[in-house]
Amino acid sequence: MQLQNNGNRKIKKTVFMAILLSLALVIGYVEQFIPVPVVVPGVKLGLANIITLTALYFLNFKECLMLVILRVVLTGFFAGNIISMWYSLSGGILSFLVMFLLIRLFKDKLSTVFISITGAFFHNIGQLVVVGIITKSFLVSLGYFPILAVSAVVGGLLTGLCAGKIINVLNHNAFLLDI
Amino acid sequence: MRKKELILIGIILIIACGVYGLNIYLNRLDEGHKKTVNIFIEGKLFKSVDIDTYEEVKIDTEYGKNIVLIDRGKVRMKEASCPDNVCVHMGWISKTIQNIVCLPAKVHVEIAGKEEIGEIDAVAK
Repeated sequence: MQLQNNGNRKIKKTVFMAILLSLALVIGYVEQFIPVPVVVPGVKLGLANIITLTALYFLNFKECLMLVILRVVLTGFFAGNIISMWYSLSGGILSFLVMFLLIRLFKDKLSTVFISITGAFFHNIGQLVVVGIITKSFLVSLGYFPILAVSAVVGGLLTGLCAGKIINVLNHNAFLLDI
Repeated sequence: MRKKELILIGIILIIACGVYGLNIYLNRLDEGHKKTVNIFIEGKLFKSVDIDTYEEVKIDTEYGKNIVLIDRGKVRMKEASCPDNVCVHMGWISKTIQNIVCLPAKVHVEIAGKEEIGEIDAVAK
């Protein structure tokens, strides 16, 4: 244990964050090819949220925020869609903030599924607010709300279960003991 | 799954149903009126077209190019220059509560049930 000085810890953390980021990017990319049986196009499972949720349990606020922003920006570059990157960013940051608060306030009382569903719900709210601002019409957002709320429950349930399993494994991982 | 999750899911679903009901109610209010298709760019009305006609509206702004197709009672986004084409995959819409949004081009199309103000000021009964 004496060998693990401060520098070692920093390297471990950097490696951990790099792994999370690359995983999030790959998941976000692969997700495009998973068909979602929903009448409204643009609805997706939000599997990259698994990584954000995992990060929230092991990293601090600044590091998680950096991870979310880097993920959205790099996904924007990969998908070649810089404009819709801004819409993802609004939802991503709002859902991140909500999940961060929930974890800091009630870490042991709430399951990852609960946090994930709330996060997914606020992700969609964030995007609807942007849609409302751009179209300057509250009704447009209202029309999309029901289907997005239901998809948040389904997507949040899935990502919450996955993140719960991952966090469980990582908690018993020697690599992360002193991060 | 524990109780808390079920309560959360329940609350979200109830809100969703409430908003869905509100949407249907707002749609009912508009029923029976003449429908017009309003095309907005950045929230400003770009063009207003009677839904019962056949018309292709071409939009070309600095944000992108779109073609809105109005075909006797229904509307769809025929073409869009954005890479994801979410608005094109939306397909046809025909009810007043429905709309098509193309975020990259900042275009949105909605069907309004009420007559345009100023179009017909008064109808003698």
